[in-house]
Amino acid sequence: MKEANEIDQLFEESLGGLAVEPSAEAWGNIASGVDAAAGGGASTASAGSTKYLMWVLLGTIAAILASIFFFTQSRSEVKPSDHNTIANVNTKADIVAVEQIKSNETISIVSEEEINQTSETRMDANNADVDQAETLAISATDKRIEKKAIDNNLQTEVVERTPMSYNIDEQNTSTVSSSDSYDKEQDLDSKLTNTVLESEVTIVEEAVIVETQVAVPAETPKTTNEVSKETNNTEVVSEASAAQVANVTNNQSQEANSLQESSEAKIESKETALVENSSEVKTEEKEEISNTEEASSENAVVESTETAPSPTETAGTHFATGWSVDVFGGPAWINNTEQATQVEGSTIYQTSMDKNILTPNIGLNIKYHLNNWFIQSGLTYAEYGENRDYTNKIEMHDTSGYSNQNINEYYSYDSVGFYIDPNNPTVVITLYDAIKHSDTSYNWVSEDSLYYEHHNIYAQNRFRYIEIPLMFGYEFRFKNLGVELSTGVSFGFRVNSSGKFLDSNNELININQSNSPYSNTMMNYLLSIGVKYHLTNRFSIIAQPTYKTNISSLFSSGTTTSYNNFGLNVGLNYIIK
Amino acid sequence: MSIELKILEGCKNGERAAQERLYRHFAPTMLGICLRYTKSRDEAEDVMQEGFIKVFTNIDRFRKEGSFEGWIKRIMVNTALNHYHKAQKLNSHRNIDDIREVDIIEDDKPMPKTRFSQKEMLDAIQVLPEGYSTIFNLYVFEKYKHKEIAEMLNISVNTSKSQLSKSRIYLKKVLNRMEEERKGNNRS
Repeated sequence: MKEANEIDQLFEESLGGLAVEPSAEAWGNIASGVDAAAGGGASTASAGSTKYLMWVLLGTIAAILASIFFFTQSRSEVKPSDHNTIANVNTKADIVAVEQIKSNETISIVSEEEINQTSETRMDANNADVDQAETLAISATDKRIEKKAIDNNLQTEVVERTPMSYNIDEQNTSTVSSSDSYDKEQDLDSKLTNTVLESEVTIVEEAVIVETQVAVPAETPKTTNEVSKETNNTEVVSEASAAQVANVTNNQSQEANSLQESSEAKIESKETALVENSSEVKTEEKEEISNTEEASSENAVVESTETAPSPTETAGTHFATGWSVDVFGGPAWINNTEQATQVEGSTIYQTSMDKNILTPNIGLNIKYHLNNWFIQSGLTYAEYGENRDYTNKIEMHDTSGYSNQNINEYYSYDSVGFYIDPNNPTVVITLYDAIKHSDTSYNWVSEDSLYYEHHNIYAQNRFRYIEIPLMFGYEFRFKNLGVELSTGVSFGFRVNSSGKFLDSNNELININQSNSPYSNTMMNYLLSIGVKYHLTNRFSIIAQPTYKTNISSLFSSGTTTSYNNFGLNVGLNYIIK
Repeated sequence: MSIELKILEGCKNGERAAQERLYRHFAPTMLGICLRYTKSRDEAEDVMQEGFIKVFTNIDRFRKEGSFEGWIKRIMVNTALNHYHKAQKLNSHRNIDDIREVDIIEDDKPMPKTRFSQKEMLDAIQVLPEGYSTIFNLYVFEKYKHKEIAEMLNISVNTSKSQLSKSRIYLKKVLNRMEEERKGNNRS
């Protein structure tokens, strides 16, 4: 034992105060290490801002995609409820075609009466046009014969045109270009063009009717078939008339080339034939136009007499435009990003990782629907927090052998006087008194037995917020089911908090509303996918998993810990209007 | 020994000049501690650097109730112990109890009378098997009790006691050997 103490003492004396100058580069390494540690914090902040930017980016992309989808859909989608509109559009196309032939003016017709009136006008106009065009064609033929000019291009154009390869603009364009190429015969060309376009009116009408067939609901199949049949007949006739006009023109031109001095009688006979043919064309076209207009008018009437869906309603129980309210509640699973850390030498520390908790989520949202899109806001009660274990490590001194001693106190002795023994006066005895010292600065090493007691402290940290969400979303509709995707942000206001928290001085504090490490306001990102089932026309039941995460830290300072909230809300949706 | 409050506050604010002053003040002592727990100077410097980084990054958690030097020392010792634990994980085949008993059979030789230099004493500790030197350091220099050492190193109190005893025997043998070598050198 003595030897052991000797060795201990030998080493303690020799190495107890050992001090060795470190190498020159040691400080540089430490400085860069400290920077790197600080950079870790910065990178955490950077990661936070990256996360923030990522959300903003995702939100922006979602908004852009949604806008594109919305506009694309609104332009291209043909809804059953839009039959009226289609009928209007078809009739308008008809009218526009006719009017372009007449004067290239566009007529805007909205009401059913206007459509019918315009259809009648068009019929008359078409009849007149047919007459006029045929007369002009004959006249043109005469003039061509006289001028001995052969309009091969125009003829070719007339012959080559097939019913399905045209639209109104192309016709006009090609016709105009043809006319431009023959400046000297501009009048003749335009007249001939009118004739050609006359036949094309039928083609356009056919296309219109085909469209009408598509658009006309099942209630009017008979009318549509009839119109279709008649239209087909008209098409044949119109093509024939156009071909005849072309053939006659061609023949007459050939004759003009080969027989410049042919007899007028011969020409007249041909003209007569042409007039007869044209008359037939006129009659048939009149019938066709009349039938087509009747069909169009019938369609328009059928469509307009149907009970058109209200703009605020669509088929089934789905909601197009208006307000609704959601009332919901459910459990939310909360976890945080806090790491359990034990500060070197601390007496109170977090023992383990925080335990995730289940908290209630209750709320009410008001939604405004615009077709499949909606925006919503409201009030939500939400709780955040964790269950946390702390350990309080208490240094205990077994002072059983020093029961009367305070380990932070020691005594020194000082002379307070002297005493001379009368029996031995040469001996002076110094009197000492004990002086008590309290030393709290000295790093005192006790000689008594030292041991530690560990006390566990269990803390249920809860901080409660009232949140105002602001979200937008899109609803996919399937009969009685709806699937809602929504995203947005929420702003929270702290209403209550409780628990225990280690502050920056590593001291355990009791949390309450006035003494809380949590900030009074906060902001979250929200993402939710909801399924809605329509119970009645107004009521739907909803189940809505939600994800929520803090944008800004809940802590007023010192830590960047954030919370994730995974909730499952169930509730009711009520259509107000 | 007290550090000026100004330097401490500067360190808390992350001021590099204050940190350097603090480092210059304590580094030699702390390196001395680290040398006792490690096998080489390089290893000791690594531990010391890691310890100082912890000091600077956690300095705002220092409560001014106790000695600042004591706080830094504890950090250095804990860092050295972490280093020891890591090394133990890497060399899991060798722990405190695996040291050959032949090395630590007590001999009858008395304690050496030679006065050894600081470096020789340090060499003696550094040649101790790592577990032994750790227990010896914690007990002799840091004044920890066996119960605390047992908790720190996750061993039993009896193991701590027996290993301390063995480390003393080992050290005595090393010192005797060094004394013999020195005598041999003197003769020759």
